[in-house]
Amino acid sequence: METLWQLNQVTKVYQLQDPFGRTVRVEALASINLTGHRGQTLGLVGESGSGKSTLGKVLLRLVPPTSGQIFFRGTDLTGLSETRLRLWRKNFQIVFQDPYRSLNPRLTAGDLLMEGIPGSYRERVVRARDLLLKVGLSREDFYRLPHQFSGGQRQRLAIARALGPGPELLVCDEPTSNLDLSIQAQILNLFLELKQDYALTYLFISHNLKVVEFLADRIAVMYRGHLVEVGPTALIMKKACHPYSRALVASARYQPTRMFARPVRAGCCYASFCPRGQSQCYQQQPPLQEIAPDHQVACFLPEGNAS
Amino acid sequence: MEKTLVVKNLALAFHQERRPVTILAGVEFEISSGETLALVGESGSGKTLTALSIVKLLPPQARLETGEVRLNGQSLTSLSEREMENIRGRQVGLVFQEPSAYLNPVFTIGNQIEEAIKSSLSRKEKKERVAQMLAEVGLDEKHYWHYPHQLSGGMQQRALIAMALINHPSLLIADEPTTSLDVTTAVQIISLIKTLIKKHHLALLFISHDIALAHYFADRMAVMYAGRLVEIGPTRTVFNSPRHPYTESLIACLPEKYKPGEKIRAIPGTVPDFANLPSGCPFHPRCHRRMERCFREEPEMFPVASALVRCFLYGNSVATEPGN
Repeated sequence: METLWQLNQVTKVYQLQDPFGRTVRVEALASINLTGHRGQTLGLVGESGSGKSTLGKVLLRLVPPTSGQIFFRGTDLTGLSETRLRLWRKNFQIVFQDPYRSLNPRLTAGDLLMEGIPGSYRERVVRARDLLLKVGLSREDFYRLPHQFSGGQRQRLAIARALGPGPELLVCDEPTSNLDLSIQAQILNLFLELKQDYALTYLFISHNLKVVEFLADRIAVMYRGHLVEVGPTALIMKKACHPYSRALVASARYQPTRMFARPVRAGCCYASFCPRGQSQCYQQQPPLQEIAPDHQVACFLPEGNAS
Repeated sequence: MEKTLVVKNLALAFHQERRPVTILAGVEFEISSGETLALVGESGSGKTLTALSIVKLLPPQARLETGEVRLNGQSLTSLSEREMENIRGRQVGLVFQEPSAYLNPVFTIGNQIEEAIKSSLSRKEKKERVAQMLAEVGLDEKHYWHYPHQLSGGMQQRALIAMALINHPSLLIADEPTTSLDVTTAVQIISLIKTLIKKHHLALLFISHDIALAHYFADRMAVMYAGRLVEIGPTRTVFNSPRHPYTESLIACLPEKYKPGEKIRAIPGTVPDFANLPSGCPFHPRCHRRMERCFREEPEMFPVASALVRCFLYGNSVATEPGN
């Protein structure tokens, strides 16, 4: 399988100020190694604040990483200047959760789309019209403003806009989380169609495991800035090995998991809640290791036997 | 025996600008003690307004046109605001979506739960009652002295559940109580509510946009669309053999019902705006089984098996008979 993008030992540390002016170090991404295969959908799941969105933004260099390398088609993006990077940007685009806040309210749908399309004016108009129809909007929508669309239509517009430059990789950051079930279904179908028609590669970020299960070929599970498990969708859903992935899968089926809460300052990111901790877990973070082909887990005591 | 909550023929309209806009029409259901009724629908279907009509916490432009709400045999419809204050908190407990919005940041959790006690108890008795309630919702004794910001979202929601139940109400209304929480926490909160319902024989009105969660959780389910109940019945009946085309289509929208690569059978179009509802059955523009009369007439509730369904497919099929 061909690698389209790769994160190599990527970390992102935010230095924040607490109300008393003291500096607090927040490790949003802790030494992330992750690979995206061309033409595949990688689902990224985790609770809020786990670093999912940061990972997506760092991958697109919308946020610079603190350390580590980002490869896209074999080129290291970390070393590129903003000017050079701009030439790459057409290859990777992003769709956000709230389309109302990511679309300029003063531009018409047509203008919004044409902004991202290269070429002569005529070419841009034609392509913008095509894209509108492609995402299920109508010709008349060309002259409408973002506030005149419903939530679902606005998300369609945001998707069309992301497709404008002709990207290979589309990062979707919770694109259906604000939508009702019936509209979510329409948008998920649209993602399936577009993937086929444009041979897209997705990084699909969501807290909703059921949505990710529907779309993704592989799933990566994050917890507090760490990747805790990566593997094929069916495997994660049926035989996850990391206790947190298991808790997540159980919750998606409405089975409550017993949560322990002991204060643990060092060691594994999940140690405070893990039902199976032993001494080693309180000393160091387990590395993400391959326990079977295409199945990586960061746990000293992986549950079950996946292989 | 009278049911804990009886809602009859509820109709609600918003009076603003030129003409009144009908929001709820003919909403009817009952909940007995120990039973959970889930009110399911998409945003803007009138779920929350139904709940707010029961406790009369409506926005100023909203007016109840018809209908009656009876709680433990007492009609709430004619009660004054003063009398309603005695009902809320005492007989009806309320839990809402965003827990942090309902906690005062400058008072401790224990303080706020204690403040909710409506009966006259001594200071010591109140403390004991709060401690007992904290234990019931799975919070530690030490949380009595904690401020809201020291608690996680899940713990804050637990505190609010404690507050809602501290006066032993007979009805609990939970409006999307887990929507702002992480999945793992949400499931814990749901199972906590479930345990408490059983233990205290409460009637629960559970409002959710998540039909899969409602299926897991509720005894009976009511599906709302455009301010109308379109189907109500035992959860298993409604979820496993949905009769109304909307219920059926909504369940078909759940992504977990499909194999990888399969397309979802999505409902075309969007939820209508209350100000210009379609004529006849409000679902007809999106319905895959619509008939000619659905454009003109609005159906009533017809009994089908153990459920009630608002659809002409199940009754009164005069239009299909020739010459009538």
